[in-house]
Amino acid sequence: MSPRRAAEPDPDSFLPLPRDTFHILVSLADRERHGYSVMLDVAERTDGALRLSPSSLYASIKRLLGQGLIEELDERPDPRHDDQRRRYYRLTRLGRRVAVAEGRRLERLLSDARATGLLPEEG
Amino acid sequence: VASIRGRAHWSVRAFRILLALYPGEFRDEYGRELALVFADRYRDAPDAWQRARVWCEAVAGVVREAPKEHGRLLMQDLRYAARVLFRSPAFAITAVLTLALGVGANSAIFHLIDAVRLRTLPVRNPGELAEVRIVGGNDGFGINPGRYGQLPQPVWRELRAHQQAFSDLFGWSMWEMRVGEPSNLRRVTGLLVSGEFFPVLGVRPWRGRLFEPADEARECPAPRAVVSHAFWQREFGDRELTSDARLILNGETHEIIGITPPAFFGLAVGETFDVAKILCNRADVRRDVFDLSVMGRLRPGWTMDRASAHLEALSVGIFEATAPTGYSTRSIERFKKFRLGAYAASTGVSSLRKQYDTALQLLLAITGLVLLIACANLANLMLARSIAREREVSVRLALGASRTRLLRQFLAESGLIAGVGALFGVALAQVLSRALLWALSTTQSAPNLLLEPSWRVLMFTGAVAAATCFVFGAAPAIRATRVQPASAMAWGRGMTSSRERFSARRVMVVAQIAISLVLLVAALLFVRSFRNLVTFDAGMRREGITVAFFRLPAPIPPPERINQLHRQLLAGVQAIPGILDAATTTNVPLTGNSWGHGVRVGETEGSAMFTWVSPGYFKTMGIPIREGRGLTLQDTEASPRVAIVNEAFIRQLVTTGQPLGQTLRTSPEPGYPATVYEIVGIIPNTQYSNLRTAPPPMVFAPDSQNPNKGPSSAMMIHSSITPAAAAASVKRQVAASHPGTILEFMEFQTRIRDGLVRERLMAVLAGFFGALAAVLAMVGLYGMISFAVAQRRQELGIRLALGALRSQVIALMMREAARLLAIGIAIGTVASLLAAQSTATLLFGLTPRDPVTLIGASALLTAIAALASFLPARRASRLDPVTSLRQE
Repeated sequence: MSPRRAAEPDPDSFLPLPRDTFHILVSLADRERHGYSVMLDVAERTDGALRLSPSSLYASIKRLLGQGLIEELDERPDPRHDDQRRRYYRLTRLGRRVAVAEGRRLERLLSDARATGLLPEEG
Repeated sequence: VASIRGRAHWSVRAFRILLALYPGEFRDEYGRELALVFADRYRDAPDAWQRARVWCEAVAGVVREAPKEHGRLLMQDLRYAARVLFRSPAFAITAVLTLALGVGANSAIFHLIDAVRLRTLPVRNPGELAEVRIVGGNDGFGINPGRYGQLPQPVWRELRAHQQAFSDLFGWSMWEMRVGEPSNLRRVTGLLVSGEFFPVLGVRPWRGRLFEPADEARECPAPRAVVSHAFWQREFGDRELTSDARLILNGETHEIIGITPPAFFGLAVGETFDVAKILCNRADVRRDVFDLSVMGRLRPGWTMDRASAHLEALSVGIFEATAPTGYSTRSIERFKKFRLGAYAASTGVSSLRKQYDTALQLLLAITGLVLLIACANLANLMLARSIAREREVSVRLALGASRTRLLRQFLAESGLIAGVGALFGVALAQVLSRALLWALSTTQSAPNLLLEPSWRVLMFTGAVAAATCFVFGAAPAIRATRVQPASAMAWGRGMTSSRERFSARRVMVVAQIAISLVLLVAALLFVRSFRNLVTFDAGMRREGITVAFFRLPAPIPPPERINQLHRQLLAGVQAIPGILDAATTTNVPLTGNSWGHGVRVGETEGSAMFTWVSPGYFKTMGIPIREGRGLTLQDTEASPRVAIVNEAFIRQLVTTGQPLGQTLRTSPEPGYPATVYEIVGIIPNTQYSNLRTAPPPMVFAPDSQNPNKGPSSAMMIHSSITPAAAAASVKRQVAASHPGTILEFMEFQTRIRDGLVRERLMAVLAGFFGALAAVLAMVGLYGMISFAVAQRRQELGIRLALGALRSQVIALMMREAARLLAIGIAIGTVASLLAAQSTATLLFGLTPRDPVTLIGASALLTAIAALASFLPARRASRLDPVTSLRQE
């Protein structure tokens, strides 16, 4: 048996992800963001359908930090907003694997739905 | 919105205040970020409408998420606490079991209190029910059969016709009835109810129909009966109710018209009924029999006070119209002065209540104190642990954990113990309360109480558990978290604060000893009181006595024939081999019944208990004749009236001269005209209706001279054979000589014991809890001295090394225990003396402040404490100086 990296949990054990959680992971997929940036990104991608409140956002962030799916970076100001120092977050290796696994799961679900004719074939 | 950059905008400040809803840890970590994000969103909102929306969403978010954070933190604390407790399973199990026992015992007693006095009747709107009673009772006027009789039937009918206070009113009474053929009679509990009874209570029939007002107008006595669900199941099994269902009740065939639902047991809590009959509307009903209980629903808007005032106003007319005849004018005047009042009746009536109220409250206090001792023990254990965990605490403080966080974790530990203990306690209470109920049962009856958990019981248990958790958890937790982080660096023994904490443990040991003393005193009082009752000399023979109740078959013979038949029956029984003596009596002593008349001796007036007996009565019951003569067969209906009186009669009513030869005159009552008896003999005082009350003035007269002979009587049978064998022989003999005679037997001794069930319960439970308290106090003291030995190991080692004798070390350690014991006993003695009065009504043959009991309890506790402190002290004296010094 080849030595594996120090016991990283199985990404599948986190699935299915709660809706808010997946959105947060997705918004952190391309770059590190601070809380408000995550919130704006989620709102933009869902056309304003999903409006996270600050409370639910940080409840999720706290949990994701605890689970090791995201990590905290140094505080620094966001030039596009103001000069207040903000805390930035980014995906961990595990977080990325979990997000990918969740994406795959949704993809499979979608293709099942198409195969049964519930949804029209992509085209 | 520009001001957001400078001084925070008001909305951001308000949001920050709202963040106080979060736990401190979360706020410290994310509070600033949350406020920032909120400020960003608020600033970016394009218009006032959107800003309002942002604000609302933010508030809703905090209100939703903050409790969840608290919950998560609590779960985290509890998980940590569970891990800590799992690491010391002995402590955890001891603590949980102690609490389960304490909480369980409290909850069980409360369960019973709830069932006996707090639970409302299972009828429609029980809160509206009120009972009509004579204010202050009827003071023994007339005949008072049954436990719940309050008013004579004529009073009830007058009341029903004239009152305005109740929208509905009904009368009912409870009687013993007999079902079955004469050869196989069974006693059942019967209800006589007015037509309104079932409709007003809102009882729906389970099968058939129940009585209604129209039933009262029909023929009388009506040959119809309603039976309870339990009775139907018992007698008829799963059969359907058909129109030909019949029941022989008191010798007559009745049609069963309906069955009441399973949950309905009547109005007497703790009892149940088997058969109900309609109350017969007879013109010739006696006016001096107070056998009815009258209840109803108050009219809307009427208070209990208004109803009472109304009833009082009606009283004059009602009692004037229903005054009985055949009494002296004075008695009639007394009757006419009775006043009616209304009393709340939502919880029904209950003889259990009167009998067990004080006892149950005392037991609740006792179990509460036991729980307190248990808590003190646990607090001591927790304190000892907190000292052992000082290092863990100081390290965590040094690493930056907040004190509130640590405090919460300690409280989570005690909360977990209390919670698990309470859960087990609730389960245990189910068993214990049923055991208690079983302990209240006698050979005659078992209380019929519903013991399902109510919200009151659950709230009570929850409150007890929470209080418990606070008592044993708070002090150790607060003390534990007062540790200075710096002391983490000081490895080794001799923490700065342990001395102070040690004194907290002392206070708790003193409290335990004091409370244990109170409980031991209570235990000894009740045990000795019970012993007094069991061994009490009632002044008559109790062993080997069988009581036979007999009733001559219908038609009822004329009075002169009745006496003859009784004599024949008696002669037949006396002739049976193994039967030493037998005598008839109109009243069986020590079974709770009584029969009295007003009497006058010379100028002295009073009342006395009357019993008409056959000549052999005193010999059968082993009662000596002190002076004069006993009764003989020469005392006949034709001869002058004679009476034997007891010493209490002489003391209270014969004020002048030699008692023998004086006459006593009875006041007239219906069926008992004024009669003059000559006192021909004196017997010593014997107990009358029970063991507890002092013997009243008593008169025994010959049965031949009984002015109101009935077909029923009781026979006291003294036999050398077993009661069962005697009963069987008598049954055979009577069946042969007087067929059709109804016979019932009871064992005199057993019946007397049945009357002591409350005293037995108190003795057993108070004894058990007293012993438990002593054991807990012993454990507490043992633990404290052991701990002291461990703390002073080094010092003791040096003493021993320097040549201290083992006995000196033992004395050193035990002096400490002795000081605590002395303080504890002093406090406990004062507390016992203060608390003692509450036991007064339950004690027999000793006063609540009985010095022997107090000294005995103190001595017992001292012995226990000596043992508990000697064991660890001896261990201290056997320390190896070298080892104990090297350990440092």
